[in-house]
Amino acid sequence: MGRIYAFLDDRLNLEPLVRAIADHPVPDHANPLKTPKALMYCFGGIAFMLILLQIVTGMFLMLYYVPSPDHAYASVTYIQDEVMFGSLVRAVHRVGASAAIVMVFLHMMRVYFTGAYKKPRELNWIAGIFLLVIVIGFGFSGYLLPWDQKAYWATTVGINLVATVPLVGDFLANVLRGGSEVGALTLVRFFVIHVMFLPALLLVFLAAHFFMIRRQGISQPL
Amino acid sequence: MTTADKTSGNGHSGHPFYPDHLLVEGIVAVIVLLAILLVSQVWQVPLEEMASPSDTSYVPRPEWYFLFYFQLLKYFHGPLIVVGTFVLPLLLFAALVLLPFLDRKPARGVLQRPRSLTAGVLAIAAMILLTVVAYQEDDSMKLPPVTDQQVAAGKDIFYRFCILCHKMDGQGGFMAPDLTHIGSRSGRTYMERVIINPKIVSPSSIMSIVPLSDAERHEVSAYLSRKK
Amino acid sequence: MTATIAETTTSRRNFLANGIKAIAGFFILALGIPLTGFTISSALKKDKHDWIEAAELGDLSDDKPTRITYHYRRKDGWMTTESRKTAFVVKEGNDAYTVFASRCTHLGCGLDWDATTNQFKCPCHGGVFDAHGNVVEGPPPRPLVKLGCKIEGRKLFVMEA
Repeated sequence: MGRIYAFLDDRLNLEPLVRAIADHPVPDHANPLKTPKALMYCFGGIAFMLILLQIVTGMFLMLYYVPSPDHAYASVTYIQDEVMFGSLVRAVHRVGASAAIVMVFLHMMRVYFTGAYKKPRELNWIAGIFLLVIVIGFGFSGYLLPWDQKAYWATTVGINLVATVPLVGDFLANVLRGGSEVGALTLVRFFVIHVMFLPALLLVFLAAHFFMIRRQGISQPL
Repeated sequence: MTTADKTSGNGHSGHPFYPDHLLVEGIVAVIVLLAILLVSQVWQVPLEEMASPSDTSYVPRPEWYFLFYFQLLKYFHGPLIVVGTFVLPLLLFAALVLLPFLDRKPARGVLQRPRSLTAGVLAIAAMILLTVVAYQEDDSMKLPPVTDQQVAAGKDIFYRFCILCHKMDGQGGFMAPDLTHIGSRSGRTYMERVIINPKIVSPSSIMSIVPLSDAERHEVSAYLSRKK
Repeated sequence: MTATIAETTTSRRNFLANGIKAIAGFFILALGIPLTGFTISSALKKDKHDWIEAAELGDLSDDKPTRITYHYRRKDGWMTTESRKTAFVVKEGNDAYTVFASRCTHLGCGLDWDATTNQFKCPCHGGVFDAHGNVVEGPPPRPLVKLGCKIEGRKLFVMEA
């Protein structure tokens, strides 16, 4: 390890970068070893860990999943019943999704109740709100993918909610469905939104979120 | 000094991110991962029957974290639905995005910000309350799946009581609506609500309350749901 | 004195760093084991092979290999598919047959029977086999793969190894 690092550092001058990340001071009031209350400063980091867990389990589920009405349900059944650790991996992705929603919400509550969104951190709060919407989007788009009764009907209802928006609602709902009924086009759309569009957006906003945290530091103790 | 330096605790105090802080964060992460693995082992992830677009009797429920919102939607009837689906979400989103600009006082402690405190606590309380109500209503509406036995028993009950007023396949009374094709018009939960108390569903109803047990009511609704 | 402080700081840092390594190891094991099993599991499953009715004996040529096409059902992940494969049947004697898979043992290209030289030829990299499946020329490392075969009634059945 040390020799590989030395080789890379010699050529890429990594040391200043590594030191800047590693030695960056974390204030005492955000250190749970000093005060247990500081555990609430972990919510954001744990939310990030859960997002990574979702990305990893999601990538592996895609090895077997097929986003087509003919095969989606059968491929999920196959994962569940025939693939080694299949039901575990699927369950971790499902439970991890709930946990991620909870953590993102707890993180938001910490920032809200400690007033950490105030100047100069307004922009990071807004980035956080967008991340919340993106995470909810993951939950909604992922729900259709198993193509079981619950998936189909919950998505039908969800899209019909969009259709009630004045003026553009019907148009938006048709765009989401890829037509007038939930079907093959809808399933592919939701799949691609779930594994391509939302992850891309997520990474952009996460990068902005982290950049601003490092730039502005963790908010002062109250 | 930049603004960031003045407001953050990033002076020379504190611990380095690596290894001190990352270790703590890592320990919490391990606990969370273990909890997720445990729940994933114990809990059977639901996978229902394959999607069937023709089965309109299915009552869909969203994932638990959307339940509070679906419960809220029940209270916006008719044209008001747009309040629940569009106006409120838009207002909430706008309020959240604009929050740092609406609340510009430097005071950060939540006790010095009574309005923020009230708004936050009320919002969380509303979400919890709506979720609890949604679960309770779901429980009371839980119906056993239709079996042929139930349908036969339900038919018996129907021809003893309901037939006195309702028409079925050309015979029966004329006081109440013809139920020959009721299964293609109404869902089972709706039928059950009518049987329990017709006036709640339609205040002008003259239908009498037939004292059926829960099981008998399920049988009748099972029978009627097959009459398509 | 300062040296001792520096020493304790370093050993403390090392201790914490080892803790992080242990946690990283835990994550790699806790996720790596299930995900590895998940990935390789379909590769570990053995295909089940049955006797497949492949040809009528009357259709087989006496003096040169006959190309036959047989159909079989195969479980392919979550679906069962109808597949087709070809093979060559060589008559070795009275009611004695050898069936060769029509795949070159080099890299799996399809083989052709060349009637002018009485050899199997692979169009990809120039592998050549004789009528008994032995390598005559080119890169193939092994003779042609033989399929299991049996005769029942006047029909030839084959089974993949």
